[in-house]
Amino acid sequence: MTTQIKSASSCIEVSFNAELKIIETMTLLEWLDQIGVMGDAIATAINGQFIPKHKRGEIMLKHGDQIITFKPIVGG
Amino acid sequence: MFFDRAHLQDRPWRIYGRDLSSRFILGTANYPSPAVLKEAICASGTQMVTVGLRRQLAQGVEKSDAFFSMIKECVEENGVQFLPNTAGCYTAHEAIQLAHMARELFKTKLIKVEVIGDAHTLQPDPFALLEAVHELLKEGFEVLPYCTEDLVLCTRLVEAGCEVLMPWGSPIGSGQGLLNPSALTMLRNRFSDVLLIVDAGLRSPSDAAQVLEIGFDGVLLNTAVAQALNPPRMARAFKLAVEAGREAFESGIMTTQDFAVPSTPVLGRPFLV
Repeated sequence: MTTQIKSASSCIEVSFNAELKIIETMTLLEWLDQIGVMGDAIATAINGQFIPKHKRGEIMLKHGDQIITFKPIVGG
Repeated sequence: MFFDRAHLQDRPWRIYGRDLSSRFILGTANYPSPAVLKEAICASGTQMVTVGLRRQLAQGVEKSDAFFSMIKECVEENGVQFLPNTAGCYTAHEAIQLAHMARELFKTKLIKVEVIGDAHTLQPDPFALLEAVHELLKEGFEVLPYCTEDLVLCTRLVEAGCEVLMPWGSPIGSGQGLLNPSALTMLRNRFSDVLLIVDAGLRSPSDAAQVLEIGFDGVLLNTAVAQALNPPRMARAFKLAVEAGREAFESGIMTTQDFAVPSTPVLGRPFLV
């Protein structure tokens, strides 16, 4: 039996909503899909910059990125 | 310089091309429950409610969108529009980023721009506000700036292209009413072509009536309704006060005088021949 081990170099460390995560290199859209977040119900930012919904599939996550998601809430 | 009362009385109530009949914008925060919020929205007769955005924590990333569903339901049932805000922002950059997110999520170009300059009073930062407003107007947003009653700041906001100004009555959630009514009256006098809405600090319906009586176009409030013992009834009380204040303004309120004027017509003194 062969065990496949991911090489360390294919993994990156990112901060997702202030929690550190070791993940494979992937796009923002793939990451959101992987953790099961409803993409239509949230807005996203990386390193303090808004990422529009239609760009999520193009943005490749990089080591050290800070990903934040926002959701609609009540407000005054 | 004094405003043209007739011009203000006849002007339609329209925010960036959106015709409204209710002059009461209601905040949606701090209600005892979503059901009470929904009742308050109905009782207020409002056609615009404020909403916000909040960053999520990793543990708390919700897979559902219960609040969004409830508020959307309310919108569909009552024809209410969203006015997203940038609450919690302390820099122009943060406010601009949040405005973009709000436009995507709430599908509206309207944005209440709020950039806080002092954590204790939640007083808006005039410099960061103006910077954010310039950028957002350039990017096609329809901006309602939450500002102080400072005449120079308001002038700069109007020069930047704001069609609406939203000076505070007093600090957010404080319930201190109108701390500086003469400055608000000055704004009315100076900006007859700009919509003026008092946002924040109102406590009781009489505060709202006062705002409308001095010729302001509307009020935006949250805490005074949300924290009432009976929010739906308080929402209705504010609705009536807003209508009364506007009705009084349109009717032409008498001017004050330093001397008495008898209201009963008399001829001399009744028993003195």
